[in-house]
Amino acid sequence: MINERKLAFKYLCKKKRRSLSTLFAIALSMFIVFVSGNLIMGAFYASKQAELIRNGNHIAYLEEMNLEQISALEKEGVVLCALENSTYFMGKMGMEDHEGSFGFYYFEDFSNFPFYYEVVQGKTPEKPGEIMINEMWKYFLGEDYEIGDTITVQLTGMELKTEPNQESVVTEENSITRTYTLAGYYRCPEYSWIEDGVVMVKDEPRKEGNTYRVYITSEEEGIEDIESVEGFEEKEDWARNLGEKYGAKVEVNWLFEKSQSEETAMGYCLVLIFAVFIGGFAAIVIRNSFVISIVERTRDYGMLRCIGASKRQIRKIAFYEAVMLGIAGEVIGLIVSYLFLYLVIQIGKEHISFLEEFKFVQRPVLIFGICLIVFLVVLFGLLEPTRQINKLNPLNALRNQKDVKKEKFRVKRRRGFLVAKLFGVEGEYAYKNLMRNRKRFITTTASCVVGVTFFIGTNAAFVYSEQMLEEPGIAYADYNAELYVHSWCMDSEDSLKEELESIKGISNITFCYQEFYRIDNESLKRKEDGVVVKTNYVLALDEGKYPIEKESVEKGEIGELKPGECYVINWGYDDEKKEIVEISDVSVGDKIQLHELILAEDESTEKTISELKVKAVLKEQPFANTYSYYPVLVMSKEGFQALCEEQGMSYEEYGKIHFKMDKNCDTSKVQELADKYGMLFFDEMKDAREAAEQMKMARLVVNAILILVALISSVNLFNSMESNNILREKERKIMRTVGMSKKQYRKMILLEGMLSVIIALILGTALGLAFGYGIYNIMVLTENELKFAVPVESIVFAGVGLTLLTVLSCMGGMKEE
Amino acid sequence: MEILKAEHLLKVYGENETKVVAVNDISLTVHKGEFVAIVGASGSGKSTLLHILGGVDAPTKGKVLIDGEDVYSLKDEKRSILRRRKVGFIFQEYNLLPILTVEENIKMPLSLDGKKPEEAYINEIIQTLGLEDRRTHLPNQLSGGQQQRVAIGRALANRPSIIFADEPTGNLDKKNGYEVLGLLKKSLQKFSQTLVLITHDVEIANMADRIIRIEDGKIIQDEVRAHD
Ligand SMILES: Nc1ncnc2c1ncn2[C@@H]1O[C@H](COP(=O)(O)OP(=O)(O)OP(=O)(O)O)[C@@H](O)[C@H]1O
Ligand SMILES: [Mg+2]
Repeated sequence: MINERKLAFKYLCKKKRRSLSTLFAIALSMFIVFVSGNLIMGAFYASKQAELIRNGNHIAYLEEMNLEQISALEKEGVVLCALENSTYFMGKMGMEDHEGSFGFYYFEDFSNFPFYYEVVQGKTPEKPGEIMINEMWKYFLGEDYEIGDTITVQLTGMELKTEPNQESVVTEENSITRTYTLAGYYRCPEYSWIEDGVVMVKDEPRKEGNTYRVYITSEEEGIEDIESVEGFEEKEDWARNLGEKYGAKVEVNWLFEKSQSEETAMGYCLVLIFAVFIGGFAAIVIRNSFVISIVERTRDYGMLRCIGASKRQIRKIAFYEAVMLGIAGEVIGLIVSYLFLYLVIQIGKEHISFLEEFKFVQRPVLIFGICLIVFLVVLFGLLEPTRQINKLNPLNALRNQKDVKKEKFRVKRRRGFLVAKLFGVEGEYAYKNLMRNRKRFITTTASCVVGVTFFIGTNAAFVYSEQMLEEPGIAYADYNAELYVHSWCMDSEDSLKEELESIKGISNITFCYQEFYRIDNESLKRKEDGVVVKTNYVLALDEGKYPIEKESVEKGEIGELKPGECYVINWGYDDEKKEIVEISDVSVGDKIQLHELILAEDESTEKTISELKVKAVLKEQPFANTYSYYPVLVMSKEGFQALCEEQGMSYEEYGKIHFKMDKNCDTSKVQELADKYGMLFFDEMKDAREAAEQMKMARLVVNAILILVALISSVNLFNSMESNNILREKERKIMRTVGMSKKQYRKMILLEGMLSVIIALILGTALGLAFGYGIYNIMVLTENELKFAVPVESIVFAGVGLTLLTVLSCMGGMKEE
Repeated sequence: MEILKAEHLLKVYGENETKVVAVNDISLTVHKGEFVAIVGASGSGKSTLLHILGGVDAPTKGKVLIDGEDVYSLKDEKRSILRRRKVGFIFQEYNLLPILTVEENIKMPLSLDGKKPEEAYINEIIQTLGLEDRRTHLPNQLSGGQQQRVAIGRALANRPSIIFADEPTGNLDKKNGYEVLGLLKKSLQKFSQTLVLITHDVEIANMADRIIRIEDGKIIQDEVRAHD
């Protein structure tokens, strides 16, 4: 027996092209929404995962817990990640008296350590008294100690605790010395809690009378899977309740705070907005698809109505069809999405760092949510067809004259003339056909124009944004990397330089031998005969050669610096007292008095040292370094040596090599070199490179979305071409009988599709460039050296792509006799 | 027994200058088993009248009773049900669903009603119409005459009280036209059906029990013919 469901199924099977095109639209929308949803949530979870690794697996910590409380906790089944007993010291470490403030973290057990770290050398402390030191210290201690050596730490000042829970003030006078065994060096990812100045010590077994900070987690919690960062509310409540019970202060790991559930919700919200946006677009296409199938079947439906089918029954047929297409489309979309994501992740992992941590999101919320949205979109696409079914007058439907009657022929001769001239008689016919339904022609063209404008505009913006990133901080483009050199490798200066030069993409290598800075924000005061510098930062340069561009010279001349001469850079800074000496205040020939360079032990012993004559004033900052908001003096190596002699200090102690790396430079080679000589490598370009990668990613995503949207739209074009074909079947036959060849007919149909595209390409490119230029003008206000670039590739791509899509949809929509 | 009764039907299309009175105060009664032919010039309002009588096109004024039920006082849903149970339609253009086979097309009015077709009856119709070896064919595989026979079969399938046919032979050649009409008449007698048929063909009209002549939307002659 034939019922509505079977009829719907038969329609689906018999009208293959229509069904397939609608199916394609649904599957594609599903694909776009699912893939982007997965990427958004995947990125979200990946970043959460990274945070989890950095911040450790504990849910919370309880402060000041005594041994009694701790054993009670254990009996309750709470998993203790670690017992910590930490103190901060100002201290000296090593034979050379390397100074610094460091915190000592005492841990009972490192096997369930609450933070993430990597051991870079040696091993994790196992016995009491063994320590593990941040690798940052390795450069200072590496000369003096080897793994397994006993290390002496002199602790002075600042903190109250010298021993766990033993409160006493350690001053200079009663400074204490402790010895540990160096077990290894560790490294922490950026932003971790246990950064540079921290030393981790294997503590003695639990001591009566001590109190500890106890890191806790629940039994089912693990560090491996982000999926476990769920049920935030319960976990936070659980930790807080424990704290209340034991009267201890509780600090919940932010990853387990309630705000997390809000953040997750926000991620889903983003997906939802995106889905609705794409869905809205797809709904229009799907709606058109359905409407066209109604038009196609007006006769059938009219007849059905005449022989007694109710409106509801007809609506049911349409509904079942939509449901079947919807389900099939979703399933296909889902399968293709999974395959696609799998491939992208497998292939992309090696090239795009973002994908390394990426995971499939297999949450039912996401999958079913998206399925539901797409399904709603399909149903939404049914609204208009339903309305049309309700409007369907069975008799008119049978006569099938509705559409013909509605058409108003208002074709003006003159307008078609240009098209006719360009494309021949087929062009003229095509134009006239388009003008039969002016509104549709205008909407199609307008949407194409918008699409092309957006595509060209955003790509233009991307092109010069990328340009901007390639030259980050144009003001200090001479250098973008630094190597911190220590005394023990200064002997091999020549070979170091040679090796550095041999790395591809490195230029402008400059050695700086000394730098001092003292930040006490004392004012810069102009005296009658010169400027007194108290807060200072001095650079000595390799043989006085400092490749300064002419434009950066504000006053004076650059050339060889003689001892006693200097350049002044970035003179003028905002200090707290607002007694600012502007760059314009310093003139060539001014004498600069440097106050004592070494930290004065006592203000009264401060002595003024030799005067320096200002040879030139530069407006540019010398290097891509971060402290250049302090005034900088540049002097020659010889001059600096003399200065050091006068001050009784060695100039070799610290040094810096500045150089420029271009795009092709292999930074890992530089890192290797740094490791070899025990230097620290600072790559100022790192952020810029990452930003560039993100920008590329953003461009990729935006373009991919636009291309997919164009694909969905082409279904629309395909549909209208096909419906044209059906509605104009008789006309086609007449034209063919009168003598129009198949080729001519094809050309006509193709031109019908292409006219919109041609107009859109011309108008859209113009508008897009204007749009891009507008953005460029806004951006140019801050950065000057960018040139506006026409995104030629994108224009060609849009042209070729749109033409191809149009030709394919026109050919697909054209039924062969 | 009255199967169809129309009272003062009026159908006006358009307004003002384009106003057309397609049916102008027509009243008529059709009895069970009658074969009524409606004839008239083109544009005289035959089709309009037939549609109004068949319950697919509401009159501007007037009433139509089928089997005593006031068709246009019913809501669309009810009227659809009435149509599929009591009325059969045959059109000049055969209007079969291209996606269904001959048999499925014939059974459709029943399917729409959710009824299981009475196989024996359907077989009888198919046999009477000479479509046995075409059962599983699709409409586009049939000739015009065959398609019209399917349409007749469909009109008969739900044992309607009354069948309306609008120039059912208009698209067929003379020989085929008579053949189809012969079959239609044979079926009518066999299944004791009522038929209201529009035709331009005098010979076909002469086959009817009663001929109603229409001009400018009015009945100008209602003639009951005596058959031998
Ligand atoms: N939908 C409509 N809108 C306006 N006028 C209509 C409509 N349908 C029919 N008419 C007009 O009503 C009149 C009667 O039309 P109808 O189709 O009933 O004629 P007919 O007798 O069936 O003619 P034919 O023998 O050519 O089929 C005609 O003048 C026609 O122009
Ligand atoms: Mg007619």
